[in-house]
Amino acid sequence: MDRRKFLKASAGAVAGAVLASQLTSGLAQGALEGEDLANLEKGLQQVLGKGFKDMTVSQQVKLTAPTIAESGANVPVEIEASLPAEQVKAIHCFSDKNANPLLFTVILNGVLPYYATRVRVAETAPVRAIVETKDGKFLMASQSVRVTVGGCG
Amino acid sequence: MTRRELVQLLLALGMTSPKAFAQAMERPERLYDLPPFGNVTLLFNTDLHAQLRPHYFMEPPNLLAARALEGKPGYLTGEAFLRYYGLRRGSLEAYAFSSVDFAALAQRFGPMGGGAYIGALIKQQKAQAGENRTLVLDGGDTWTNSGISLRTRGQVVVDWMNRVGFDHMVFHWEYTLGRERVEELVKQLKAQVISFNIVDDLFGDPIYPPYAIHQIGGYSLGIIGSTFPYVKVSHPEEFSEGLSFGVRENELQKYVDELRGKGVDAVVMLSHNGVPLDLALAARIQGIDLILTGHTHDFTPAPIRVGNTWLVAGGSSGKAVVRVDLQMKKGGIADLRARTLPVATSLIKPDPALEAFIREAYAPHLAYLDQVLGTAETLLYKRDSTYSTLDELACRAVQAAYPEVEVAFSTGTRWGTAILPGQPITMDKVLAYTGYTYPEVYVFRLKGDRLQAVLEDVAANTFNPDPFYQQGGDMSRVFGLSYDLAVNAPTGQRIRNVAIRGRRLDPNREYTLASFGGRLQRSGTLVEKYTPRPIYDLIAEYLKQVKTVNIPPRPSMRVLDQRYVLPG
Repeated sequence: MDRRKFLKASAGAVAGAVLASQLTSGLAQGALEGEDLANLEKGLQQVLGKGFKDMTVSQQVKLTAPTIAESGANVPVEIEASLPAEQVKAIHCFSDKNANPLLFTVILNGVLPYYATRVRVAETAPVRAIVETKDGKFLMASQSVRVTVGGCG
Repeated sequence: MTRRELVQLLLALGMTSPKAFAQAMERPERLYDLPPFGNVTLLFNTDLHAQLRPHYFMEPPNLLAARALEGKPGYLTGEAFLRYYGLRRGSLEAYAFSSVDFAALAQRFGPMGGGAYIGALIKQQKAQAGENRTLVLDGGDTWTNSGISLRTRGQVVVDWMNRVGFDHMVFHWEYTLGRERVEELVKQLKAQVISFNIVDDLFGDPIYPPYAIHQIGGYSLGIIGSTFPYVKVSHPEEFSEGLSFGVRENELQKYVDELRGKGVDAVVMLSHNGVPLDLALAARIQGIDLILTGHTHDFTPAPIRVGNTWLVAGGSSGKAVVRVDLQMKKGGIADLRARTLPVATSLIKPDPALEAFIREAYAPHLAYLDQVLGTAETLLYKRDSTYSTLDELACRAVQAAYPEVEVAFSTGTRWGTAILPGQPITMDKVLAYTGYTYPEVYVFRLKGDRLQAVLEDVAANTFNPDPFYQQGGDMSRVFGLSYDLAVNAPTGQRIRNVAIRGRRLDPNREYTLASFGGRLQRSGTLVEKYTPRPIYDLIAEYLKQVKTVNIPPRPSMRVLDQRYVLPG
């Protein structure tokens, strides 16, 4: 690297350092990729008559889904609740950015609280697994699923 | 290179102390003489990309990463890489594993790799360690992406593997030969394919054995294969019809437990996940002793430790063979020695049988592959996070063929080659970085806001701070479009100040774009008057026109929050 290039590179590095501090402060910490709470809220209200604030994030709900979907049209999801079967009323599944955020609802009628299927995720957004208990609680686990243009090997 | 030139070079590199001189002048071939260690030896080669001839390949000057990953293995380049692994500037290792002083050291050490040299090194190391205690493993991305592979649909590489004697392999780009061809070649392949994560699309059953168990030196060794998780997202789906891939963390844990249940002493994962994802997996999966990983083309001259798991990466392009010697104990690995051995053609005697085999295999194709299309006046290289001169050459060729194209895209693939100033550019060299089985250049129209979204999407795949959300590959290269890149910004805000041909991007205007080797064109509307043509043909035509190529590295993007280094 010659002197001119070196000076240019270091000037860039300094400018970069200044900008970097601005960027980090602007970074929304902890938000899931593609989160769209406004759209999700509509779906929750319509299906459950409840809002996002009524959902309780819970370790008792286990959601398994790929982080990057092979195809957004066909995303395998698996939802399991570590609760006794008789306590669980239904399993609901939503995705924040789908035009209709509801993916499905399964009424369990006392069978083991486990369900696996494939869903359509329109674009990169969190998938929400919501377990509705018989005593009216909504337990939730979320995971972002990337639906990518892809193809840059 | 004469002794005088070498001394001048060393002076230029700042090596003035007598000790440094002595070290650099000493015989580097001693690297290959390893005293016996432990009771099991693994030889690992990966990401050859079908480069059966020796060639030059410059490591990336930049591997931009989100702050959480910066400075860690997988994102180390240049002098930081040398510092991290304690390598001397000007040494063979510095030449092979970093971009520092590349053009000067290329003159000294010459081209790297090639099937006859890799094979010779593998055979030599196998004999040195002991035939019966050694397994030879391939990490995938081996069968495709070179001229000879395209001409023989992978055949020559499989024949080469059979002659060298590999025991196991996993896949990625192999699938771009099409599933049917892959399965045809698997039948001929003497090595056993192992992969827990190539499964039937409908039922989820593995297509190949997920693992193999070997009894070596009184110990039992389990090897799990993991193929690249994103074959389907990265390439046209028709190549892998009926198959599904994926990281499949839960299933991986299940197979590790199954192996442990069968009483193996150690579990090794042969992986095409790449360093960042495998480091993340190692922290989450219990019971893997060692991961040998490919895909991201990283070198790890010293093994990395995560919890109880060792990780060693294998580089790419035939530049190195990794030798890992394991000191086994009941239920695990007591100690390990890992050496990344550069395949330096100036130091290794090629295997005569392999050399003859390769010469014969190339013979029918020489007229096509060795035609000289032009000459490089500047260093042409491929690998970098965001930009390269070989990509600029591809984009210039596209632009010359389709003058109305406002923005030309080139791919962020990691494979390729390097062409030194003064060297001829042959068809073989062009194919070494554009050897796609789907090489068509598409001209399409896309609205400005969509174009920005596409760039954001690629940036999110490349720069995501969570390796589980990185799809693989470097950032797409753009020509005719300039932008500012904020690596650490949240998704949707990484790409800024986009300008096309010097004018600010209009979100509502339709632009004419061209791309190849990916799926970008699907976002827009194809311009139907053009029948898509292979990128390598466009480059060949362009080279014949211009004859000499002078492309000093001038990236069209500006990185806002990281240092960006130009090579040279």
